[in-house]
Amino acid sequence: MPESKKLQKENLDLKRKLAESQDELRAIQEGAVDAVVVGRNKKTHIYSLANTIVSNILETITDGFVSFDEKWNILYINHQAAKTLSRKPEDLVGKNFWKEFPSYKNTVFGKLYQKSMKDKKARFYEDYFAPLNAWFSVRVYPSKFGLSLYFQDITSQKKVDELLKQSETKFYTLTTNAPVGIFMTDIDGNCLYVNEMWQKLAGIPFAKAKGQGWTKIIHPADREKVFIEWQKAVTKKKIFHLEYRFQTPEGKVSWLEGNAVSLKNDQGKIIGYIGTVSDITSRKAAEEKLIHSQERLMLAQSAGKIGTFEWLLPENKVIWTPELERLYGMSEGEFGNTYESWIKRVHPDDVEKVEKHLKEVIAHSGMYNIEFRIMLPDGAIKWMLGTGAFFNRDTKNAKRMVGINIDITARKLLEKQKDEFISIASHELKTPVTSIKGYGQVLKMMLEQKGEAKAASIVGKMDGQLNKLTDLIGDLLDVTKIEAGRLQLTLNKFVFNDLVTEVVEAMQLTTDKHKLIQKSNVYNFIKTDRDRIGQVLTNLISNAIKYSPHATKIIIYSEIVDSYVQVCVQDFGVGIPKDKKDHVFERFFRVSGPNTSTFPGLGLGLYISSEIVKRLDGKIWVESIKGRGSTFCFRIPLKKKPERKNK
Amino acid sequence: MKRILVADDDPSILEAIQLMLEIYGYTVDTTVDGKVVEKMKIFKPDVILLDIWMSGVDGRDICRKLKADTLLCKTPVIMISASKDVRVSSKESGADDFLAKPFEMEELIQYIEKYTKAS
Repeated sequence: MPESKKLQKENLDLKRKLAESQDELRAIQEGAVDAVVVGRNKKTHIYSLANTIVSNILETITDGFVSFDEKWNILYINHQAAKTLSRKPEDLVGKNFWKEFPSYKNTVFGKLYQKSMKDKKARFYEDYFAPLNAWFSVRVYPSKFGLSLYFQDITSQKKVDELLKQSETKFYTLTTNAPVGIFMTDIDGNCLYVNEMWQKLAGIPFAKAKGQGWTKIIHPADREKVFIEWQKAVTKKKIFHLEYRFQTPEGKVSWLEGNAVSLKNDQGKIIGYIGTVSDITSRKAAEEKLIHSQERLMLAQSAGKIGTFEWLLPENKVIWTPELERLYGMSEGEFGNTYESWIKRVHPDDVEKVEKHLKEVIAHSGMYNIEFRIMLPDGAIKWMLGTGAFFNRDTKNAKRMVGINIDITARKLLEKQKDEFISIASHELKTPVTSIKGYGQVLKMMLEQKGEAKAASIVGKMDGQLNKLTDLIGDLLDVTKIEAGRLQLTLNKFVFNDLVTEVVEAMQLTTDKHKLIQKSNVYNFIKTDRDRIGQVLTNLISNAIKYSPHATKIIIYSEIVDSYVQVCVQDFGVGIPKDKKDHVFERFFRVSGPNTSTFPGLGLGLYISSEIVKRLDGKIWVESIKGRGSTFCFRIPLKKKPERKNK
Repeated sequence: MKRILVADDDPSILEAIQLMLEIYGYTVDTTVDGKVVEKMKIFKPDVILLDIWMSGVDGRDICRKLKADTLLCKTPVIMISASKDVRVSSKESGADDFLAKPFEMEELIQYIEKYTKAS
């Protein structure tokens, strides 16, 4: 039995005894009237003795006590009661209660007392008493002589009750409207409470969640996991935290994040659990999407043989995807994560080329794009295409590069096969051309000897056409070589003017309309590829002839500028529109338009020329006014530096 | 009468070259088989015209053999090819000169005259 209840019982016992003693007292009092007559002294003595005992008891109790006769005269009032009424006992004893406190008569309490006086029934009542601005608990005990009442100020207790009630209301409001589901269980996991949100998420009302009902809406696939985690949390006295699913009776599945803590009593003993569940379905869906898209990306990269890297320059840190490691023939995590660990995998013959390119890219924050070979740990060689871009968020210095490597070995093999094919094809084409040319020249000579000049000149024209065919085959072969980086140079030392004169004379033979004028000759020795420069000059002059069908002259200037020899070929033909000017050196480009569409050619000549000039460390450019003509110029060093072997 | 040995795996080219050279009064011996070039030293050629891409045989290998032969080592060898890129490697194999196909008759005659005069 709790301590408080015990006290309460003792208190009640005491009060009962007190009421009994009061009745005795009344008996004595009544008897006392007779005593005055019979033996005053003896009776007075008894009276005063009893009075002392009773009043001693009444003054020690914490309740207020008042005793009335039938006329509501106060027979006795203890100090506690007088204090509550803000009076002194001696001022009130013998006074009429309603006369002293008229305003109390019509209160709920007053009416109750009067009722009890009439029907002689004991009553218990608790209420707020406005005149004293306090809560009282009152017990009314009528007797045949009058009435006694005990009362207690219970205001402070009422306040606590009120606060408790308020906090309960607050808790209820809070949990009801909370955006998360809230639940409470006892120590055995029996559900004691769930809020609105919980019921909404679970799709069941509290009545069904009660007890062990809540376990039914946990997704079957997650049930075991939840119980294991719960058990762990209980035994290790940890916070329960888990993501799991609810499945409503209708079959709707939602993902939840659940948290729970134990509830303890004042002694620190666990009496139950309280927890929350929040809906993370959309987050889960987003996560799932992300995982899927990552998987897709990985799969695509793997299928496309693409590896991704990130290079943090200041830290010299390179991050690789597992796919990139695979491409480089390494197992996951084998790559060393620095620039050095990468460059040592690059084929020794390509290191210089790659590093030079990277240096330029870093200096200009440009795009990284280069093809190179790598050496696999097993000694195999693979071709890679590396591309990437720098991200310079805050400074001008390249700091972070993100890019990819693509395995282009198969493509390179095909390219090589294509190059070889074109190389063989052009060789095979040249063989019949060589014999036709030979036959033609013999035939021409025979006809000349017979004096058949006209027939001889026709055969001569056939020979000219064969030369054009030879040039076309040569151009195709040259382009293939340029693309493959195999354009070979043969350096010779010669007097530059000899070459120009030779080419101009040969080209003069191909045109009757134009006079080729050679100006400001250069008699210096020059060291470069004689045949290739001859090819460039031939090309420029043949273009000048082709694109100035109505002009009568073409001027060829050559001069020394610094340590370069510069050659310009000026025509007075159709010219090049400004917007096309920069494109004329591109492969397959041809100046087109209503007036120029009829010009023949593969569109390879200027591309080959510009590649040759570049390889000879020179440059080529054009100045032109549409309708007035063009001037194509190139300059090459007087002495070309020997180039490093690129294989 | 100068004697020219021509080796090429294309009979038409051989015929055309033979016709040209005969117009200029040379005696011409030809072969389409690169393997027999060395044996043809019995004709004592003054100049040898040698194609590089012979079926099954590399003209440069033939050239090295010719240049190692005591009888032929002083005979000028002019290599001919449709590829200009072998100019350097042909010289490395010991050839005295190189002529790219297709060529002008005058060009061929110039080369031949240059080396027949020297011999």
